[in-house]
Formats: sequence, structure tokens, C-alpha cells
Amino acid sequence: MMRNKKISSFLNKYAVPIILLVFVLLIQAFNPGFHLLTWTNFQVILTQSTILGLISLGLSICVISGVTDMSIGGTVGLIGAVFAVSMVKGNGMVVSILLALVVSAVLYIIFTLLLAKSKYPSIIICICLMFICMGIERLYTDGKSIWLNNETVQTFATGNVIGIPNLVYFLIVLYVISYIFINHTKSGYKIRIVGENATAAVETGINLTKIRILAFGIAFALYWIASVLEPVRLGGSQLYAGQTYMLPAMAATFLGSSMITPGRVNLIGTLIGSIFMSIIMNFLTFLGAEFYFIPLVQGLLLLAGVALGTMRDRSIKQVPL
Amino acid sequence: MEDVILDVRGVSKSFGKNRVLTNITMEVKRGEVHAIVGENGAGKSTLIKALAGEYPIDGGEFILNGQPLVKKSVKDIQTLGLQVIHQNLNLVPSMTVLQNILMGDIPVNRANVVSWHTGREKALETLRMVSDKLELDTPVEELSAAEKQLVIIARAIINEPTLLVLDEPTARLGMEETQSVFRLIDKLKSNNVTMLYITHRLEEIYKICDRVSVFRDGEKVLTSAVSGITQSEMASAMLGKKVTDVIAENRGAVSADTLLEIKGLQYKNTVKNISFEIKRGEIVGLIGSVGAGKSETLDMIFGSVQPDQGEVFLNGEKLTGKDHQPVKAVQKGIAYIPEDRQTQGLVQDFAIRENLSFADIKSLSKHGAIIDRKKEKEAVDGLMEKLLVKPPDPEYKTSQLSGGNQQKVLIGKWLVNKYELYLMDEVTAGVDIGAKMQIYEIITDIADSGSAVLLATSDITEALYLCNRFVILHRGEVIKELDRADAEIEDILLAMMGGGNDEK
Repeated sequence: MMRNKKISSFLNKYAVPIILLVFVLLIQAFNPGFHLLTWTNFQVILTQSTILGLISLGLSICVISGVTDMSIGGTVGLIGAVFAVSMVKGNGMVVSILLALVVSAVLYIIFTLLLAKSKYPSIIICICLMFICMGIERLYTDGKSIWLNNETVQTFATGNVIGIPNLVYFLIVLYVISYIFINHTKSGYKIRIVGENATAAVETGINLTKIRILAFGIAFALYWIASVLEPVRLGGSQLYAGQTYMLPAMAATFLGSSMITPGRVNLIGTLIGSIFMSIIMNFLTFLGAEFYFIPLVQGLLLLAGVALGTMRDRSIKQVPL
Repeated sequence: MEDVILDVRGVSKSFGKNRVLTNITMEVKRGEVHAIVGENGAGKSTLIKALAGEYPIDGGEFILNGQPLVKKSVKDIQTLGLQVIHQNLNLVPSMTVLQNILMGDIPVNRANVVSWHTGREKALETLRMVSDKLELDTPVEELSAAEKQLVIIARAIINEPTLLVLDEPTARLGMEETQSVFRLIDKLKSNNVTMLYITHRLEEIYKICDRVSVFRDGEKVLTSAVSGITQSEMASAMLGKKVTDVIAENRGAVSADTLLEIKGLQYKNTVKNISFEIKRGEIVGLIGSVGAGKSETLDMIFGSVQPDQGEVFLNGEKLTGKDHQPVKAVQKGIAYIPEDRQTQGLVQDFAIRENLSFADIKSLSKHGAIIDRKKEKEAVDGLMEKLLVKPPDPEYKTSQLSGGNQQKVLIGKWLVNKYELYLMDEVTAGVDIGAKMQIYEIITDIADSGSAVLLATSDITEALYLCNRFVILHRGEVIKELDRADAEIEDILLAMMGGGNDEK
């Protein structure tokens, strides 16, 4: 009896990650040339996961507070472009990073004001902000990708400490901090309470607006870091880089919600989801898949993630037709 | 002078044009259990939400423990010693009982890291005051409604309030749990906690309360010591002048044909073994307070909720499985007018004409596909005249109509064709008196044309005015069935509150 319960609780938490692992191993088995299991390739995948992982982390914190932030498709790209253009103009590392921070802060303030002070639906606010940012990005970069050609940056981006790529440290440190924040601090708990039952929060004296402002603040700080790291990793800012991360970040977040605490977005799930999505994207590149094939796969995985997540949420009732 | 813990001075509140609290003045003495009673919509819950700082008020003030509460936040008011146990069950489902109880004041250790362990002992002690069975580590999503109610009570009392407001805490509880809540109230009282106790069950007041204030239509009509007032006096105060306004209208004889018969309907904890029948041409009042099981009963007849047990017969034909679904019910001649007209019954963005015609659009179409505008116009114009919708313009946008006129449109859309049975749920809730009388006329016309009406309502005056017969529900059971001729308003009110049996 006891043992059965333990097994079912284990499966409830880890069934999806196990399926994902088996899936990845199968890909490897049928494509011996993929070399996933070599440390070098895995380092590449982890580095790719860093950017996606940090964007997904910010998105997850928004979702936990009750708002699905779709604006990342535009904001991330714009912040990265501002950083890259500033670098190319010779402003230097520190100034460029701070400039990116200023842009993030402005976007954060606009986003928060619109969500907290207006009654417009959040999905519309997010989509508008996304396209506005994409437009500004295009104007700002003249519609071209910007290449950094900076040796220091390149050395940093490709370097590693005790075998772990430099960039991956950002991923590890920020996930640990965020995990502790969400699961072990008062404010973290309040963010979860607000996201799950806003009325309960109000009744127990939690200030809704304050908590959401805090959650979005953390998310935009993470977007800022991810947006600066993206051109550092690639050696430049690709046009509309943000858009290429929107679908996989949502897929990572919602795939993550089908594990660990099934039915609810959680940070460990998001991390596993991000690494999985990076492996899949890496694999698609390996196959030489056409560009249109990538969003197709990502969209299907997002759908699968949402389906698995809601299917396992006991609190969602089926409405019969 | 006696010690007053809460002083309510001339509090008023409106929602838009709707006045919900008018100049409420009352004092709550330290250490007493003070009951607040009144019909639905009398303003009880609004007063509590305003007191707790969840709604701003338009005029007047609350003084709690000597401090005025003007423009204070929910948290600040809680710090002054107020805790409210709301009617709805707002908990965080994925978190444990422990985490929910400590939600208002999350415990942290010296490093500012959350440490549920720190608060555990106190939480357990508090939880044991409300229940012997509940465990601290159970996730709240696994609890029943009654258990959730107990967790909410624990969440409120752990903060050691000096004034505790309980808004119908026993509405979802069984006998045993209700008793344990009463014991808790006694215990809190001996610890000098003052309590405001809102209830629909008059018999409870005599068990636990010291004084009672009666509310009617947003006004406080009286405050009295419980020992100085009878249940009937309370009932009359709640209903006010309306009692004498009711004209006993004896509608003509009803046919002997049984149209609907339900046998032993059962649904979860909300409906237990309900049986009754309705004849053609009859208006039957399904009467009970909130949570008595009225809406659930209608849902089961209509097929939008499948009963756990029991049978529904329409014209002698049993409705089961595939035949027992809303789409089929409409085809078989059942119309359903739900309680929530804003979201359930009307398309707010449509013109009145569109809302009136879409339920029966098929019969208004040529070849079953193209809308016959001439036929539609005739039907709509006829209805507009019959319903006396204001303004009398069929192209007027539905969302801009008053509540009463929206309700007329909602009923009207089922009058394009004749249905055999009309299920109506609180049709006149929030409707002004003029529109109410017009709606009553429409309902009477429906019955006179040979259809039957099952009218779920918690407004007794309305039921007395319209119905041939009453089926009175209390806690999901039929507690009494009465014919119009035998019914006295006090009998119905007492039965509704579960108090009728004590008097026999």
C-alpha cells in the first residue's frame, strides 16, 4: 500500500521528465552522428539553454503571479539590439550594459503601468508591446543584424571555468537564487498566492498590485540579463532574436508545469523544459531542418506542454458541452 | 457607559445608481455575539466588505477599538484586530492546510527565510479548535467544501482578532461540524472575542447570540436583545411592509395533468433525495435560502448537471443519458432562465431584437437557414409590446438596459415559441418594483396559457404572489410542501430557515 503510494507519487512528479529523457535517448540512438552525449556538444547545448532558460525563468515568474507575459517576443530582441548597437558604436561594455538596463526599466514601467492601471486584457497589452518593440528594434538596427567583432566578448563567451562554460554560470546562479526566492521567502510565497487565488490574497491583506509589480520587476531583470548574454553568445544581435525565443520559452514553461508539481508552473520544471527545448532545437539544426519547420515543432511542443499540464491539474474541472 | 468595540456611524454605499447601504448606524459591544439577519440583498455582506476595507464607502465611518477606519488598507484594519470569515472559500489550492492557515502572516526565521516549522505548533493548536480530524500537511485541493470552511475559520482566528466577523459560516456545514463551530464561538466568547454573526438560520441566533440587528433593503431596521424578540417578529422585520402588501391571489383551478415528475434526485452534498411533481398550468415555488439546493435542482431537471441518483419524467417519459442534456431539454419543451443574466442568458453586445430571436431562430427562418426578417420583425414587435421593454426600441443594445428590462428580454426570448415547462432561477433578483410587477404578469400569462413554471426563489413575497404551491428546501432536502391556500408567510420563512419544525 505504502509502496504503491510512493511509486504513484514518484511517477506523478517525474513521469514527464523520464519520457523526455527516453525521447532524447531515442533520437541519439537513431542518429549516431548527433553526438549529443559527448561533453563538447552538451556544453554547446547548455550554453544555448542559458539564454532560453533565463527568458523562461522570467516568464515562469510572471505566470506564477498570474500573468502570461507574451511580450518577450519583442522586448528581449529590443534590449539585445540596443546593447549590440551601443557596443558597435564603441561605447564600451559597462555603458552598453547599463544602456540595456535603462531600456529594460522603461519597458518594465510601461508594461506594469498598463497592466496595473488599465483594464485592458493582459494578452492584448503583451501582444501590442511585443510588436511595438519589434518595430522599434527594426528602426534602430536599420533592419540588419549587428555584429560585435569584439575579442574580449568572444573570449568570455567561449571560455569556461573547470569545464563549465562561462555563460552557464549565469544560468546556475540565477536559477538557484530564483528557486530560493520563490520557494523560501515571504515575497515568493505571496507571488504564488496572488497567482493562484487573488481574492484569497486580498482577504488576507496581501497587496495585489505591489506583489505583481515585484514579480514583473524580477522578470524584466532576467530578460535584461538574457538579452545582453544573447549577442555575447552569438557574437552579435540577430534581427528579431526575441521572437525566436518566445515559442520555446512558453513551451519550456508549460512543459515544466507537467512535472515536479503537476498542473502548476514551477522553476525546476522550467529548467528541465528549457534544456529539453534546446536539445530539440539543436537536433533540428543537426538535421538541417528548413526554417519553417522549427516553429511548427515548437508550436506542437507548446500544445503538448499545455495539454500535459492541464490534464494533470486536479483543480481544473471539465465543462461538459 | 458600556464598552463599544465597533461603532458604525451613518455608513452609506452605492454601486453605480444602485443604493445598497443607507445610513447604517449601529454599535457592537465588547464581548457580545451580535447577529445580523436579513433577506438576500439586504446589504449584510456589503457592510462586512466595507468594514474590512475591501470596498470604499460613500459616507459615514467605522470606528474600531477607538480608531476610525477611513482609507485604511485591509492589512491595517486586520492589525487593528478585525478578522472576517467570508462566505466564499478563498484558499490557495496547491498549498497545505498549514500554509493556508499562516497565509496572513507567513513565518520566517532570522535569515528571513520562510520557516513553516516555526508556526506549526500554533497552527496545530488553532486547527484543533475547529476540527479533530484535519491534518496540517494535507493540500487544500483535497479537502471537501465543509473542511475548507473550517480551514478558513482557523486562518481567521489564528491572528487572535478582538472582533471576528462570521458570514454564514455554517451554510456548508453538516450538523456535527455546525455544533463544533458553536462550541468554538462559546470558547472565543469566554476569551473576550467580540463576534458579528451573519446568518440565514434564525434558530442559530437563539443558541449563540446575545443581540440581533435586522437589515432590510440596505437599511438597519432594528436592534434587539435576542431574549426580547421572537422568530416571527424577526421574520416580519426582515420582510417589512411587504407582508401586508401581498394580496392573496387565488389563481384558477389547475389541470390534473402531471407535466413533470422528479423522484429521489440526489447530487453530492447539495441535494438529498428531492421528489415532487408539477401539473400543467401550475406555478410551483421552489423556495429556500442560498445553498439550499434550488439551482442544483433546476440544473438536474434541465440536464446541465447529471444527478448522482434519481429520475426525471417529462410527460411520463423518463429523461436519461443522451436524452437528458440541455439541447434535448429545449427540444422537448423545457426553457431555462438562469440566475446570472449578465453572463448566462444574454449576449450583452447584441441588440434586443437579436437576443429575443436567437433562441428560436430556426422557426423564424426560411428553408431552415435564411432568417426571415419579416417574420422576425413580427415576432419581436409582438414581444416588445407584451414585455413593455424600456426603451421600446428593438435595436437598442442589450448591455445598456436596466437590470429589470434585461430580465424581461431574457424571459421574452423563450416566448417566441411556447414551451411546456419554464425553469426560472431568482428571476427578479436586483430588479426594481415596477419591472418586477410586469415580470409577474408575464409569468402568470405563461401559466394561464397552459405551460408550467418552476420558480426558484428566496423571495417569499414573490412566491406568495405568484405560486399555486410551494416546495420548501432546507439544506438540500424538501422540508415542507404547502398549497397556496394553507400557506402563511411566517410558516414558509421559518421552514426555509430550518426553524419550522421546532414550533410544531
